[in-house]
Amino acid sequence: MNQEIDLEAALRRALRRQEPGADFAKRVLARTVERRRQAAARVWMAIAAMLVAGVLIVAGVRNYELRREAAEYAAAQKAGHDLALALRITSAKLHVTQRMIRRRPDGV
Amino acid sequence: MTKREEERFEGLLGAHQAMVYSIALRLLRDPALAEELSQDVFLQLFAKLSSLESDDHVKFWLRRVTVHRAIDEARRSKLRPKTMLDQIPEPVAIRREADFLLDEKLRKMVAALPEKARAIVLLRFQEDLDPLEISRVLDMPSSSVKSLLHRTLRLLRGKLERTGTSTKLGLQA
Repeated sequence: MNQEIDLEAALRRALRRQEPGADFAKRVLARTVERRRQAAARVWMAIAAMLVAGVLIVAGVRNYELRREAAEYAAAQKAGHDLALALRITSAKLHVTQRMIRRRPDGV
Repeated sequence: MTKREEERFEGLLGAHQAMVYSIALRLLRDPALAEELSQDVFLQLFAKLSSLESDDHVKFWLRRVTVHRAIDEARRSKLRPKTMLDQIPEPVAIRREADFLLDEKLRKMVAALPEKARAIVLLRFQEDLDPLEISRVLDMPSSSVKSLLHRTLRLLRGKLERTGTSTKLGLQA
């Protein structure tokens, strides 16, 4: 029992706390400052990334709208051309029909 | 972080740096690694400080995080007993040469223990925790702590006896 008590006392003495190297606290505080600076930089990076993403989204939407307007304009133009062609064909047919009617002897 | 929290952090850093560093040093057996780990633990505390209300809670948290991180690090780097402890400067104190040699011997013997056993011995004799408190820090049953502590002390005593130190120890008592 004596031995155990002695061993425990000896262990307590041998394992006393030991101070870290000089300026340990200064080094830790310097790292906290650096970490805060990095955190602030990350926040600004995130804000910048969000702004860039916003600009890209707006540009993408605008580009889509322009393309859609161009497509609609082209479709309208084609429809206009088709209508003009159809009117010309109809006009020609009507003209032919009118002449045929006039040529009939009974004049009906 | 508010100015008040910064001041609290600086106070806690000054109060507990020896505890954190000593646990890390004796588990890692490498002063540079111990310093790095200690700094990391305090940085972790810096980020978490607002959620730790009382200083007792901080102390418990620091012990727990340091021990677990040091054990993980020691296992990861597969550290084996080195002579690093020889390089650690002794605290300034006038002591008998016999005590000095015995302390050296004990530190080396403790350094050679497996991580868990070493952590228990450190928490018991460096931090003066009882087995129940040790079990909370290490997340293990107190009965296991008591059993491992008992076996470790028996092992250390056996080693001391084989080196002829046990009689001296007995006489010193």
